[in-house]
Amino acid sequence: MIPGILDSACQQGFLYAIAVFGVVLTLRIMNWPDLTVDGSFTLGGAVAATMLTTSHGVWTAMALAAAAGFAAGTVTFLLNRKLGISKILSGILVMLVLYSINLRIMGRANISLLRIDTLFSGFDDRGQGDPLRLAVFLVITAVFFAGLCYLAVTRLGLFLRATGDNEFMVQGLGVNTNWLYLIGLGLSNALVAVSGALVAQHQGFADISMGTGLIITGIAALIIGESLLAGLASVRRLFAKPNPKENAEVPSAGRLLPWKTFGELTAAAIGAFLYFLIIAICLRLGLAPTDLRLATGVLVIVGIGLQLRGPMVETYARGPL
Amino acid sequence: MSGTAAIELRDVCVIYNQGTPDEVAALREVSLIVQKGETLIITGGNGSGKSTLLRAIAGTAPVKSGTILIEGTDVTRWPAHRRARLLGFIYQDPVLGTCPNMTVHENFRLVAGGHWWSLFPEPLRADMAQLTLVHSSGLPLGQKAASLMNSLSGGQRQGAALILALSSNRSILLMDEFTSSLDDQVRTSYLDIIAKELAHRQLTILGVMHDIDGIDVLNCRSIRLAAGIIQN
Amino acid sequence: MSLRPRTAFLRASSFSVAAALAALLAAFPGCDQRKAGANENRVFLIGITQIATHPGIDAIRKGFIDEMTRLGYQEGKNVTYDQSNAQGDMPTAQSIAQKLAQQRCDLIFAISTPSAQTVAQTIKGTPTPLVFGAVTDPISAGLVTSMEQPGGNITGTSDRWPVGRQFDLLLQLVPSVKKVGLVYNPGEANTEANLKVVEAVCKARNLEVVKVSVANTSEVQIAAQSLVGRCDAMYVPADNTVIAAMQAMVKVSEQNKIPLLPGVSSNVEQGGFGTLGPDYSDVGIQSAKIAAQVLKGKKAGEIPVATAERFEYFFNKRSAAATGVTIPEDLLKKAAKVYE
Repeated sequence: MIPGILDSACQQGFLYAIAVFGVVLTLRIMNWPDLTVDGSFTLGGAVAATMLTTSHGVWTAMALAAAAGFAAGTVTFLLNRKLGISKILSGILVMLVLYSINLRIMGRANISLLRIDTLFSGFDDRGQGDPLRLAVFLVITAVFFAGLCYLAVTRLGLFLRATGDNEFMVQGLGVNTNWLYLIGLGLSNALVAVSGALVAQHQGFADISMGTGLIITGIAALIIGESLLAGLASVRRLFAKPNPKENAEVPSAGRLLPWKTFGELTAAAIGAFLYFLIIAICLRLGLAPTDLRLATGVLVIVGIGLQLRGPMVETYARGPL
Repeated sequence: MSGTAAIELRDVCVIYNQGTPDEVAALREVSLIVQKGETLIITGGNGSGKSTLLRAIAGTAPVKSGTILIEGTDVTRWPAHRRARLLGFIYQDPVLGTCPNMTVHENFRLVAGGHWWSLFPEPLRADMAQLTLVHSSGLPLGQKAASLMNSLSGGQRQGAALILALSSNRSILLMDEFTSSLDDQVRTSYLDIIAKELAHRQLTILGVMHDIDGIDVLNCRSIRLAAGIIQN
Repeated sequence: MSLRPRTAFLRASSFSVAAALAALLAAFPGCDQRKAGANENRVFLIGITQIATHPGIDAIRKGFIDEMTRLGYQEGKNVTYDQSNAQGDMPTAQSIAQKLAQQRCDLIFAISTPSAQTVAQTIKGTPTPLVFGAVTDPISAGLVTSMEQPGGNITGTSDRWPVGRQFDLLLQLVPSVKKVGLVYNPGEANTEANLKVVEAVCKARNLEVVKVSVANTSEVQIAAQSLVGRCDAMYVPADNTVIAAMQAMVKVSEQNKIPLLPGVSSNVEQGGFGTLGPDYSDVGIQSAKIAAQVLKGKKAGEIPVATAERFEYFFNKRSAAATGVTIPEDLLKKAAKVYE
């Protein structure tokens, strides 16, 4: 039997982690603050729920949810690149429009999946604290994590990262960066939509307000994860032996992997888990949910504070966020 | 005229902020021909339009009228990334020529061949050390392969940017005051690299420089710009 | 960037402390495992979850607890309540539902549709029964299969409002009414069902309905103002968004002398000439009666879903006067509550 707090944190943390991967892809890797995610999360849930309640298969529903998310990201991209609207505003506009679109897709504000066969219906009889359910959730998240890590290692991944880092250099290589931003935004929102579809099936319904505040949850989770990883790195440096002389050898293959990107993805996953762990702990401590936001906020501030003069400050100094 | 020129400008006008009170005509009806294999240095004071001239050729300046031809093709309507398949550009600011938050190895992988959309994994060998250019530059890029580009000093980054631009095998190179942030010794060594490359293959260079010290090593002609017009 | 040793040590130790604390709490079994007692003196654990703070929802909760006390379940003596409020956040409602399901409560009382839905999902596979309160359409919410025989482990109270009788009251007091304006939020689950009933009721009484939709409370005032001149009376549906901005509706109605008919009786205190309805606490009372049956051993799925039965008149004399509505004396005498 898994203790309750861990169970709660794992169940929600693993599924929301996929959405945080999407946030990492745009915010960190491509340096694009994308606010569409509130809308695309609900879009994924809405599309999946609508398909499931009209007797379509689970995999069709999820594929369509991903495609819808990709389309939403495409619109944000077009608003910015073709109409010249700022990145943040483009995301907000698409998020607003998606509210109405989601209502139209569902036909109503709430679709119940309690009596529908979903991906997770097999776990219904097993109650809470079921290790098999957690194992499956972990596998699902691990698959997405592995897929994104592989993407980082490919040439496409290389160019996606380079575009976010220095778009002019990539253009100077003769590559049209518009395609790269399109792929990045589309893929990110597709991930968020898939997360929404999974969460809807897990919680038993899709609701028009299920995505509200997701960007905040995503960023908070990301910062918590990054702070923890940076803290662990500090500890490691504390115990590392100082280098006596410059390393005169060409580095081995292992060191040439994109560890920074791997770290960002790991931070996303750990952060999502910790975010919901904190909520679960606070609930059991009897904190009012209003204080919950305070507790999360304080933790984020402490996390950044412990990062003083570290790479985090530099990162925030460069972007609009 | 023997064959097509590498770069040709015909009556090119560039106006920044047109229609606003900040309107300024950076280039006025400039015409210019650079032959293949030629090295042309452009000098001029601040605001003379020399950087704008390079940007007009590269595609990042608002050209209002005129024609630009690269190797005989009219590229006036081409976006910057399309022209970049024919041109290499080296910036004045070392930050712009490389990806600062990616490793040296990854920067070199960017200029290596292959489609950008490929989903095959990138090779994990730090083989940039084998490039002749890296050898002759004396930069320890091999050892630093796994280090982030912004951990290198400014001079080293500029050298890396130079090597990256030369490695991409473009036959035309545009250099925008790229030596102005370097001290004399480093500048000489980088100019040496360019000279060696010139000896190696046919390379058309169009460079902007503030002062013409030390460029005798490159066999070149120079022109002077002032207020958007060529002086001699 | 190398750290001074002391800074590095402080960081390392604070993270270790935080990690240790987290591990400790995670391993702490605490209130998760409860032994299922079978003796007469057992203390029942009832989990209460609501989606947000809201006068109606709070009234239901209070009514529930008061009725439970009246039926013999005294807090501290033979019943403990674990109350949680999601403050409008869906993931939090889900976390609350998981916590309650893990605690092996004897019964969970969920107020509002999203809270009920999250609990219904998390109790699958557990023996915990769910009693819901204030779910307008339990069938389409997937909570029950039929109102008479809900099935499974779920039942509760549905809050259907006597819309027909409310409009009869309107026509009685303001006979000249032809068009009724209303503001609503299409993003709320209950509102859609509510609106269908309102439109059917108005159609049957030859009244035209003029609708304006909003997405959040800050838009309500403008929406209400846009109805001025387009209707002879306004109706406030059982919609959380509009109810939260009740003051705005009252202000617009009184400034423009448009009679306001609140659909929810607890709102009459703020304004509107009056209405018919159960007190929200009646929903709580009905739910408590059901909960008591479940605690005594009856299977939740066999208890029919209750609908509010008693309807009373509620009037607000000040607001009625401000909008030019006269309330007959005999109705005032019958009323459950008259606000000055």
